[in-house]
Amino acid sequence: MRRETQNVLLLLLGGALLKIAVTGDYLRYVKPTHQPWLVGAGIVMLVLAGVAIVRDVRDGARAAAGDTDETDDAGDGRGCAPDACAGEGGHEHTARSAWLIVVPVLAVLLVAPPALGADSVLRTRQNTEPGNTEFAPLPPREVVSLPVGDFVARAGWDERDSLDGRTVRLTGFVVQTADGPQLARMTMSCCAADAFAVRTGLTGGQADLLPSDTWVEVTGHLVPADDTRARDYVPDLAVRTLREIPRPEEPYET
Amino acid sequence: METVVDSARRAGRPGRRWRITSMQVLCALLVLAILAQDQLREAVDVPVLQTATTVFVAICVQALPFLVLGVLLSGAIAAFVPARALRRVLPRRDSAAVGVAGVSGVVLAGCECASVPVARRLIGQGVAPAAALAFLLAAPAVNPIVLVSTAVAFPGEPAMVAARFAGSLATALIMGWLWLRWGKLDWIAERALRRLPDTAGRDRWRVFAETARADLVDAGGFLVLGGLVAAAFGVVIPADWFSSLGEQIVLGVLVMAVLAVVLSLCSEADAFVAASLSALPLLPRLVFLVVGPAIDAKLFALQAGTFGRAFALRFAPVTFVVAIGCAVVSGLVFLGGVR
Repeated sequence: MRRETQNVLLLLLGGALLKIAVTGDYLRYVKPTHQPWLVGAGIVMLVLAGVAIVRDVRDGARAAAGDTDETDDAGDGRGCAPDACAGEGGHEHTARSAWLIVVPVLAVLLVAPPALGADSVLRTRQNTEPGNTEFAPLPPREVVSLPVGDFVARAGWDERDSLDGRTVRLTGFVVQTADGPQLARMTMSCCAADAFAVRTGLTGGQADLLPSDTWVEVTGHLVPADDTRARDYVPDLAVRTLREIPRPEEPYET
Repeated sequence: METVVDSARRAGRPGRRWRITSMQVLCALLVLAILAQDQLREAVDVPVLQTATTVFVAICVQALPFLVLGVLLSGAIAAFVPARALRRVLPRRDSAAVGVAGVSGVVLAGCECASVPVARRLIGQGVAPAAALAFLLAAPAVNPIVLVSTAVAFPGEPAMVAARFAGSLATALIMGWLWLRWGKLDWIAERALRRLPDTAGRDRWRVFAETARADLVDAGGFLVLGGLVAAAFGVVIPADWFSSLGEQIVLGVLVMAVLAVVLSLCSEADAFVAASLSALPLLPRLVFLVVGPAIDAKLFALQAGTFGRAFALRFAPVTFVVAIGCAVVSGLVFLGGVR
């Protein structure tokens, strides 16, 4: 692969990273704290490629003016000072793999895949045990807003039953399963590759009429159950109100 | 992709009047992709493919900044750290150098993608390959960020942090010493061994930028390859595998080791995944944490691209076995059994 092509690929890749970092689309793939890293990496790529292009153009102009005896016959190594390229003998080897850089560029700029949703939730059946099963008391409000992960953890593992008799507000997306409608959310610790699902069943509220991946805000209370373990730790929420909402900017819980 | 490249090269043979350059191929590819954008989107509009695409993009987006950090370090070493300075810092005896390099992995706080270009540059600057490889294996696993995130993920189990540290460091040192005893320089691709001449003045910045750029293009493609493999496995492997293993300890250790390889999680996040697999005893989860940063699909692709296939095909399987062994021993010592 020619140097020029490599540089253009780097420009595209750096541009793609910057684009999702600026538009906020990066939140579909990684957690919010990655933003400065993405901006930094994008800028470094643009600068590295830009510097190489400017230098090549200058060297090319100089060669054309006849200042040096560098010729175009070098093909791939054009405009590349011999010392600077000494470490890159294997152009044949670099050539093929570098084409793969096109794949994420196209995936990000043209396909722009959405955040993980119902399909990922359906890949597992159970909720996983939280690392910490010591729960702080809920604030004494009439309706308490909770992350779905917190609700599920309290429902399955809280020995003090802090959810009993409380009304909670949850935000998540609907998943239609064989066991009826569920409200789910993906939890991520670094990027979408390590995300896992937390989910609760929904009873009442006509959630069964909504298609999967519809974002909703529900209020309701936990249906007390003794057999949480047999139900794969998936609790049930008796829905009081349910309303559709637009997809939130941060689709994952952390 | 192969066929595109092949035809481009065939067409680019000198002597033909119309030479198709890679730039023209790229432009054609981009135009085609833009024209076919709707079809492209439709093709991916199957739930499984969409999940795989998201995971693939996530792996790339998460790992690229670390790769950039790695190539900047690599460029800095090439341009500003003369070979003789490195020789002065490291002990003259190679076996001792392995130890120093392994322990100094503590300072490079990045995930595994950052350490491959750095290790390659260290070899290029005359550091003994055994020491550079020890650094390669140690850096992503024993740095403070990874250890802290492990402690956060296992709040009730501080021994997990110690066990992970010891297991990973032991893997790195043992691999370094194994290389000293049996490793052959011929296995490493010649381009990875080529040394840059010492430079001075303004030329240094030029070497810095050019080395970083070339390393980034080199490694970037292989990172993408690893991401594709990991995303494919991520959707093919049923997630319930994790929980159905239960008490079968030997099977659990092996499956977790294989999963660590195919899932290619970032070493700063794998502890949280391991922590969520509460149906498993601690030992298989520790194996997952020690094997993952040492060898996984994207790391194998990066190694094959940087050091050559002959190297990766030998180094990766041995690393896999050594890492499992070190993790099990470390687990038995620090966790006091399977648990």
